[in-house]
Amino acid sequence: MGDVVLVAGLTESFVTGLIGATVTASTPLILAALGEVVAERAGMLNLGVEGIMLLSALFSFMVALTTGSLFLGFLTGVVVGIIAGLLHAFLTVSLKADQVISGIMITLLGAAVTAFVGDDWASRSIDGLEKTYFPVIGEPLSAVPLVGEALFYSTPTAFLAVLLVPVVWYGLFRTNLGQEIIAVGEDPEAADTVGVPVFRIRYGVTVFGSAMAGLAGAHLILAWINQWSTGMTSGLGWVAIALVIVSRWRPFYALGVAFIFSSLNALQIRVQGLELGDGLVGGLLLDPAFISIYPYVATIVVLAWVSRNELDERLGRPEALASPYTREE
Amino acid sequence: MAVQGLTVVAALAVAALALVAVDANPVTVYSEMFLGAFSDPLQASRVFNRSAPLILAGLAVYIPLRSGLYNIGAEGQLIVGGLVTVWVGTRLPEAMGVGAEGAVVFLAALGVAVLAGVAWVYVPVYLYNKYEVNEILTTLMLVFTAERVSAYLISGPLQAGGGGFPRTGSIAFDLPTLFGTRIDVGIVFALLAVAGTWLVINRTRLGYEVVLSGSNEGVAEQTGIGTKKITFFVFTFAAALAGLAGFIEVAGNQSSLTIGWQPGYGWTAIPIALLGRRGAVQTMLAGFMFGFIFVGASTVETTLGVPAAISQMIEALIILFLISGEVLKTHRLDLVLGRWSLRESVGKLARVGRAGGN
Repeated sequence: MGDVVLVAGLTESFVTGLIGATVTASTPLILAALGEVVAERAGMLNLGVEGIMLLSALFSFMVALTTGSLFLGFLTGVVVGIIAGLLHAFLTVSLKADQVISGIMITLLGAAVTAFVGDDWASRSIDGLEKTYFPVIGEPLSAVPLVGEALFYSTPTAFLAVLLVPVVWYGLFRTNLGQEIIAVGEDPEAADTVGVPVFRIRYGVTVFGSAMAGLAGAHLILAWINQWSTGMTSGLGWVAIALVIVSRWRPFYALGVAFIFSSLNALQIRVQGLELGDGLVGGLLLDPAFISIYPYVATIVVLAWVSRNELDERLGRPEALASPYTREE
Repeated sequence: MAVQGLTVVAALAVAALALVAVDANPVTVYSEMFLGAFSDPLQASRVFNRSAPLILAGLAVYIPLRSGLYNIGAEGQLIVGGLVTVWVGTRLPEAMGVGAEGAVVFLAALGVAVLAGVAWVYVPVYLYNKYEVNEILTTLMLVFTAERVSAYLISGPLQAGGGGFPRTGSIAFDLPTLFGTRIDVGIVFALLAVAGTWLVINRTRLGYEVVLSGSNEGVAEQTGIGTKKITFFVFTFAAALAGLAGFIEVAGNQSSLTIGWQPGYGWTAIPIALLGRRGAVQTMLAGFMFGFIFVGASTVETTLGVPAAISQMIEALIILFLISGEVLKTHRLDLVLGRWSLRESVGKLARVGRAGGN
């Protein structure tokens, strides 16, 4: 099959490959970010995402390999996330420890534990979750040029991630529970006064967020990479945290930003083969090593922007983010 | 100190379980880790050379912490300091002509590393003072930015020679060593920094203002202390020390860099500063302890086959026990079952027989 040239130098297979890689790389980001959006909306910052993803990746890999069941593998990943979430919530909600320190501790612990026990598993690989067509409409729609196959022929967890976006959006903005979550994140004291169970909600969102990070880790290894290596998340958890801020704590924005971030990631690998020339744009800004800086720089810019317009509620920054709540007796 | 000591013991005890799980004898591992340096001069000098950047990085978190601010990005400032050290150390002799004096390059690299660390923290400081942008998240994001800039420079402009495994050239000088030992001058810088920090925090008006704004910002504002000035000062001081730590790590321990060279001292600095939050001297002690743990962990990896990640695990466990212990100390413990509360019942019992009062 001859390759179709779309615009100067861009072939159809290059674009299809780029889109495919983008969609693949976005799934763990979407899963982890959705969980973190919900948690941060209630004022719970969890910097442990990176560590949870490492832990869940390794343990879901171990379980899936020993039992031969991918389902049990995914379940393990989620359970690992739940346990880590309970720890974070216990330390920060019940003991009122600092959320930042607790989160960093979880990331350090995850990196340490997986580096400590993971070596024996590094040489093995697993037959991961297979790609399928999206139910009913997937098979015909995957014939759409450029994007069809990337969107409609993928792993079930990738479909799940995208389907969860409207679910989380609806849950946050159209249900009572969601309104309570947002109220707790804005002003826990006022929420408590009108009878919102602040502590229970903060526990709940933390566990939910960590469970999603666990699912992201399990997906990463069981549905994408299929092999364990030390530190395999290589900063994805931190990108997910950056992504939550850049998307300004909104599920649909998170989906979009996840695509943008992972297209950077996909580009990073692909521009290596391209002749981009020297100079500022080709030589520096599109340098593969340089592209990975953008998510972090974007985060700082967005943080500055939302803080500058602090009173503009539409920007969505939870007012009580990362501050513990102590009930006045 | 008692709480800190107990925390470390608890962390070591739990980490011992991990050691048992990989069929290692915790007693052997820990005695090799902590006592090896006392019988082996080489290991002892390694402890000093490692502790120096750890103490400096620890101070870089400790100083802002005294004013109630978090410098989560010491790692980023350290990386930038290390990168410019290599840049100056490999390029300056050539630029100045062959035969440039080692001392000149040494001082130039030192100065530039300190300045680079400070420059790296000015974005968070500016944003914090101007728009109250959360300093934790900005300094954190600048760590990852620094890591990526490091990877870019090492695989690009700073790379020496070809090959699939990028490495920079070696810098044109070494850190001088002390009295014919292998201990390099880094530890002297670290101890001077400890003394300087102690003096500034405990013996100057500025230090008093730092501590006051950390313990009660409202009072500090009312007494006319400029919190913006304090923020500016603590982060400048901290980042200068972090940049210095990067300089010492590169000049003393590495001399040429590969991708992923950064040893994570900026993260270890967090438990160091938490352990030492009562003073610069305590921070120094905590830095030395992690020096022992790091060197010991790489020793037991070669001699006993225990993964060196044990040091990271101890590090994380220390934070875990520290934050849970600190809280148990400052909060009143209570046991609540439904509507019944242990503390309340005890309180009622205690009040029985006391006449009147409220």
